[in-house]
Amino acid sequence: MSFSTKKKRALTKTKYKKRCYLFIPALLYLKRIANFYSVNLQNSIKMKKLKKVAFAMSVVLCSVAYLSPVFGQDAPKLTDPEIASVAVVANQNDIDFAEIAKQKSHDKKVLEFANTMITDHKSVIDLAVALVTKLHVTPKDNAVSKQLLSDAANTKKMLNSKSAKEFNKAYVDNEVAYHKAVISAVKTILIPQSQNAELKALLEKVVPILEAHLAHAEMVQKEI
Amino acid sequence: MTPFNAIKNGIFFVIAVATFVACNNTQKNYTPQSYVVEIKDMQFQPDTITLHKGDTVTWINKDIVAHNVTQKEAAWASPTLPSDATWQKVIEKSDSYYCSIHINMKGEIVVE
Ligand SMILES: [Cu+2]
Repeated sequence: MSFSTKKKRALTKTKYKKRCYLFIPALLYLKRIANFYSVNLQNSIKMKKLKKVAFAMSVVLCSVAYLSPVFGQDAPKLTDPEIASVAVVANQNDIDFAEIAKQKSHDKKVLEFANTMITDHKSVIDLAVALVTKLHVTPKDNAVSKQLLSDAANTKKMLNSKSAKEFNKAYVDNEVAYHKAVISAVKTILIPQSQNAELKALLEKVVPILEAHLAHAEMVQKEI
Repeated sequence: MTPFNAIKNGIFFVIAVATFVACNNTQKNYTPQSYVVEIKDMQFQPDTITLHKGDTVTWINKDIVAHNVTQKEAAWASPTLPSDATWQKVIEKSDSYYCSIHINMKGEIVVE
């Protein structure tokens, strides 16, 4: 892992000590995250806690339709801990949207889609958390994630404000746009900038999943 | 019974036995084959599999997300297959199937 080797080389003894102290809360965070993701996500109380952790990590909660203005022409340079943060958040984000759908929709196809989003994105988060734990990396927030966090709040507010009738279309339209934006970001920014081979491989595995979700969302979009 | 009839009956008997033995042998001599369908990158690979009645198909989930193998009308279905899980079925007839978690993942079984 290039960034950790570089860091290690640069660390003096004192700095190393300091770093160890910093590492303890980081580990505790990871443990909390791992615990939260293993609980039943449908439990609303635990969902609230989970969201708090997401905030504590400054993980990105967004409609990635906003990714383009954030990334602009000059793609931001992200370190592996920052990429890990974006990856976890992009997945958590879609779980949050799906949870709203489960509360508001009565459409069988929409509900099936939402359940698939929850299951698949949870699997990806589990693997990402397992990987960063193994690599002793703490997901790190960044300019992109902060921007995305505020955008996500708007998307959720928008979804929550919709009537039952309007909701299905709003949710599915957002899912189509969201998956398109995430696919583009993963392909053009996250994968090329990943330094660690395992992180890169995980992101590469995620692309066909996102593409299947997009096709699924577009199918539902035509039917509702 | 005239000698002619006896011969005729004898010939029929031999043909009947030979036919029975031949048919029986064909069935006994056919060794059912095993086929593997990988579930990889959100696809059934291969998506069409051609085989004979009685052959076995094993599906292996090579993805990081769970899948299943569900007959088009849900006449049969695998349980949810997590990463690396396998499921097998002896094939009786041609069928279309899909993954009910990812509804655009489709596969075809052709019995010839
Ligand atoms: Cu599937």
